[in-house]
Amino acid sequence: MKVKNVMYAMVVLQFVIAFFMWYVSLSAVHDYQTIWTILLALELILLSLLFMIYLRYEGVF
Amino acid sequence: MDQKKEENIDANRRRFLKLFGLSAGALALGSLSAERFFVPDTRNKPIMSSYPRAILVDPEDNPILASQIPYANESTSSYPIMSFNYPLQDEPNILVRLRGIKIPGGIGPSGDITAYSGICQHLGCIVPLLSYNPAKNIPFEAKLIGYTPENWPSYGLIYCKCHGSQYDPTKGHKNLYNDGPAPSPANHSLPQVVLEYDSTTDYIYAVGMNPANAVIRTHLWQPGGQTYGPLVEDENLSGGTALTPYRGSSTLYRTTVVSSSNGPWPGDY
Amino acid sequence: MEDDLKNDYNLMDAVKEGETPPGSYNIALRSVTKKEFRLDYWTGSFLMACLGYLAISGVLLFYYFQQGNPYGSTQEIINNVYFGHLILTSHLYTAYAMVIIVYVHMFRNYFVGAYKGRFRWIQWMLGVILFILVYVEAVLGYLLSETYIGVSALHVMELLVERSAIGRLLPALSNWIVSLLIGDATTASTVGHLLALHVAVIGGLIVVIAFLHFFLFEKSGPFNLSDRKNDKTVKKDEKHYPWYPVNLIYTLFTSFIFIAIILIFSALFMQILPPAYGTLGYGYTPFPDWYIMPVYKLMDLAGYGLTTGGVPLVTFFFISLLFIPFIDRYKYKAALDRPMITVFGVFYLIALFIMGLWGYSQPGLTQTRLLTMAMWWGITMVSLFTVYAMRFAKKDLVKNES
Repeated sequence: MKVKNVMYAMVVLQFVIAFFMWYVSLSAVHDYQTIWTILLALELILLSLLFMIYLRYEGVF
Repeated sequence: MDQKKEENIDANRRRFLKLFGLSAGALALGSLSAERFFVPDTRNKPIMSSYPRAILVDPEDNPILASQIPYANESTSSYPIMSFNYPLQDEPNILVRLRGIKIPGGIGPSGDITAYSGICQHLGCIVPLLSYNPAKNIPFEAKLIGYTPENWPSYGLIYCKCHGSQYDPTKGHKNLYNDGPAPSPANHSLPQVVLEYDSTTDYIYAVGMNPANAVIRTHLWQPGGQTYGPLVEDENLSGGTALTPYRGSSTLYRTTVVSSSNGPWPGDY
Repeated sequence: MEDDLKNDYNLMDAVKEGETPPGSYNIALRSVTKKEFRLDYWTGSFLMACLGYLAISGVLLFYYFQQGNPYGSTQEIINNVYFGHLILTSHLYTAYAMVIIVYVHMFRNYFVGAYKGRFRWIQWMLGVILFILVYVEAVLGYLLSETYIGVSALHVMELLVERSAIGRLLPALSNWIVSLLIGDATTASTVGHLLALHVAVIGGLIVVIAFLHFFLFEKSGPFNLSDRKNDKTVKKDEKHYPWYPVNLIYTLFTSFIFIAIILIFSALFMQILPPAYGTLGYGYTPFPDWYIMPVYKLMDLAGYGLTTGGVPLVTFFFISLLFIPFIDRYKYKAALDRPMITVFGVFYLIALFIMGLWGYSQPGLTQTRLLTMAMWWGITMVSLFTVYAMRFAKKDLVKNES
């Protein structure tokens, strides 16, 4: 199922982003707060999109 | 038989609710007397019996000299904002020196140094929203209400940016200014600080607030807003923290004069 | 082992239908149909999301805020606390978002007539109370860092109470009200009171009343749902989705996207703290925050003294909003079928914008009576003409179609 592949890819992407969130936080690069926040926002959006796709799949939308 | 039983239950319930309601009401009424919790004992109580005597010092704790205070005249376009707290720490005042004019209540060798409360008499905006704008420097907000170089007073005005109150610093304790294009929303003059000058040392002391004048705005308590009298002194000395003693003295306090960065004593009040 | 002494590890059995003993309330949330999944039906849930985020970021800020050193500790949070600047900025922007969505939510429900019905009138009144509480909470939060504009605002609030009719007629009462806010007026007492009010009192009140408001909504259902019995486009047996998991997922994850957008704004536009109380500089503006700007400018309008100018206007605004379910005597729900009510709504909307923009362009300027009257009458005419024009156009359309 193509949709399932997309969903798995999104989760993998989320793990990658999580790794970078740790990296940015621990290394405290210049402007780490901006970068970390945008990564967090991306995580939240990906999570939401994941469940929107699931709901669409279930026929709600 | 059933109907009677229903009526009985209804009456009982009704009586219960009535009694309960009244009881809760009495409890509430009695408990309201605890409202004193919210008004601290120290509210509106003066923290000292009379105005403190305070020496004006700079941020390094050295007394300032009257000759160090910059002056403004009819051609000044830039004047530093200078402020010190008196009679309590939460009450900023604006220090001004206007050369070429004798200010009623002014001190110093030429009687041209005085200070006014830095809390606007309208709704309490503070320095630097309320500040002295000299002769050649009309603030943007004053231009909005119609001030031009022609009708701006010759020595400028103490102008409050918040709502446009105007005070004339050359007039001493009667400084409320209403002769401009728009009237001042304030209806009292700024209280004037009573300063004392020691000609041998050139030091300046703050010794009181002019008794002919209004209470400092954020200490309004009496119903009509008393403008003079012994109640005014009590109000001015309540609701804040006392000044610190000067070098351990028990009779002399200190108040630090600070200025904006273009003045002699840059700092925060 | 007997059956009722055995543990039941399937927790979903606890919310099964028919399991609750007689005499108890079954707390379950409504199911929804597909048609309800549109964003304008969920402004309330965005507000809950804001509230949740504000509570969390507020607690995190509370860890480092020091009552005895308000401005200094706020500076510390920005400069020296890890993620402090982000938490402070996102707390501020979420508060702004909450105020904006409160307006959207309120005006949406005002214009569709959602205050009409069984329990909707009390839901509306609780909502207006929440509106006032959210404003109070926002102002209290702003006062906490003791900036020059915050202290000026605090003085203004004190003096408005003391100079008001209450202050003149019942000085003891106004003294009591002011003491609630600032205690004995020393700095320590003031910040302590503001903090207690912001964190516990008003914050707690908002949470409690918001939940009451929400459960009333659960009782009444989304607005227009009951209408749809007569709606010919609705299918007979429309599928209802249970709140768990469908509705829960929808609300949670639209809220997450909403918070994510606010976080992106926070990251890109980090907050700059205004100068502290006590600093002497030039170019300090007397501007309050944007949501206070309409009120600030309203105070500049000439009345016949402060007892008839700005303060009574603001009071009238809130009271008229509070009693709208009783003022509105129309028998219909659509906005154009309640033209006078809609006129007032449009008037408020336009007036809010104009007062806000005006405040920014002409600060500290008292207005003449003539200009004030011209402005009010101008906005009244615009609202009246546009709403009635649309109403007559709609009636024409309906007449032509039938």
